[in-house]
Amino acid sequence: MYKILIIDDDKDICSSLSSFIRAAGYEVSMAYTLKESRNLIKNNEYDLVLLDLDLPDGSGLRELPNILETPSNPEVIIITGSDDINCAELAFKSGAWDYIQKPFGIHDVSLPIARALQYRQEKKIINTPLVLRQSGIIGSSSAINNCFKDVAFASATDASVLISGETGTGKELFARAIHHNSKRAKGNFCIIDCASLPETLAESILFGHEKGAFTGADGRKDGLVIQAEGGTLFLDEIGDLPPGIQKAFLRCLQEKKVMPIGGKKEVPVDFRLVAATNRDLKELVKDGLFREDLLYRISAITLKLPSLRERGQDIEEITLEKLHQLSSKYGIGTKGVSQDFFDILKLQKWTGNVRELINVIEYALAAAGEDPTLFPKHLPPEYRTAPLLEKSRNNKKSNDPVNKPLKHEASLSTLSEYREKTEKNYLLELLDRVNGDRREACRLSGVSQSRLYGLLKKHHIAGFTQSSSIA
Amino acid sequence: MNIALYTGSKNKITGNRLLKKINSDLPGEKIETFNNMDDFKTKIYSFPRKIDVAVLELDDSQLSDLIQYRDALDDIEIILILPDQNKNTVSKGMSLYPRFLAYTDSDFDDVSAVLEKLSIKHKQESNPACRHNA
Repeated sequence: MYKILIIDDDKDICSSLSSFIRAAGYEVSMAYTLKESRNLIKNNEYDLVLLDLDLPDGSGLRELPNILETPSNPEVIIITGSDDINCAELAFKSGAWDYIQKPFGIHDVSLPIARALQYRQEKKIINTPLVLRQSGIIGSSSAINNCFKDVAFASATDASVLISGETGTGKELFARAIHHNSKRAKGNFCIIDCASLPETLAESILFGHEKGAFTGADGRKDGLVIQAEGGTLFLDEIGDLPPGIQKAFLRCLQEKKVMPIGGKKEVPVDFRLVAATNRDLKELVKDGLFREDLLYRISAITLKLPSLRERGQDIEEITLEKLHQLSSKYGIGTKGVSQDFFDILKLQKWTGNVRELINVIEYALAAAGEDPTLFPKHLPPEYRTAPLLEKSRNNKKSNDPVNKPLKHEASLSTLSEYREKTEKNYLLELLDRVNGDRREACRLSGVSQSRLYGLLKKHHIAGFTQSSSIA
Repeated sequence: MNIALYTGSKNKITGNRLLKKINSDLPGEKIETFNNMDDFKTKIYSFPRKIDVAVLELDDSQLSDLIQYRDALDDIEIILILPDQNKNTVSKGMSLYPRFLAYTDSDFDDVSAVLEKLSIKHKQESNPACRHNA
């Protein structure tokens, strides 16, 4: 039997809703405050929560993420008197199933409740397959576990999936996991790396060609969309798909047919699309580099992979597992890992994410030679300076005029002097963080390259070298 | 970019043609060649090993053999050159997760174009953060 919790300080609303819900055959509890709701949620597993946003002891919207993170992961329908559209949008972004405005009649909530419970019923049928754990993806953090749930959900459908995440977060591994846990697992998993796709050959590679279709077409060749028949087509770095091909590919997705180059007849296709990107496709749409209609078509399900920084608690597990794998693969004796080694790993920025971590582990393993335990001395030199940089950063912050309350200054600087000092300190901090990466500096600061160079020149700061210095 | 080129077909002409094409279109790239499967397997299992891209020209039996060692190739970008478009052969080839698939009857313009793009990509990714290959 489904268990439903109503969180609303209006006792009349609670009463009429609970009567309806009981009559429908469900179990219902009521809470008039967030505090009461937390006690109930702690001791019960609810399938659905009807949540008012304006409660006497807090905002329902703020509480929403906590409710969704409880083990039973209930669906949540927001009930509120607010007609703020932003509020509704925030609620949906936070994971709410639906949003209902007061005043409402029972018929306004009965359908959303029924649909939410139907969705819950369908979700229950999907078990997280054990094989997900054997997909090469390592980690037990809540961030990665949420991704596993998303993979299980995506595997059970045929809808297109868009996986986003920074470089090195494992987008292809997750794409493979979706394929191997889907009903298409026996079909081919065909990869198109759009970043390495020569533009002149892209159409032929994707859609195939007939003999003589162009110079060099000495024979007929099936395109990858055909070779993915019954299986999965994985478009990696889809943001790099040449604009000229996007329209044809969209048509292929919509019509489920393709015309090979030089062909006379369209060929039906049957593949499931999984796409991946480390770029902001919405920005590319705004810049006219990616079709908006294609973006909607490829992102029926979206999966955002966490950066390694966001799942720092997985670093130890990944390190140990990779060491074990490398030792088995190359016939090297198992090595221990010192706590110092882990401590330094945890201080890194990991802009290259898991791939960077694996490269560093391989380096350390090679550097260790016959040593039975990995110590910081086995790490690449620039990684070993992380504790020193961290200490230096902390010292800077305590002397930083931005963080230092103005009232502690003996004499108050002019506003212009204060701005100049703050700007200079910001630039020094920025250069320190990006480690010489000009593009990253522009991205983090939100400032164009020419403007950034101008500012550096103004404050007599040397440009993009490993260590910033004052000229 | 470190390229490993395996040319396994009995017809040496194809292998020579492929090597000539890659050498001419990508001068300056480090290419290590193999025409013996045991030597190639020794390489992929050696530590430390430096292979960024593997161009594999395989016949059907070599493909079946190499699939058993798929795990050792997991961190290498593969360009696969197959003898024909037979569905079973292609399907086996896909299990190596190749970046690009070509066939022995190709002039290999496409192979060298893809290698060029991969070379650019590797150079872009080759920043201090990601450069630590053992």
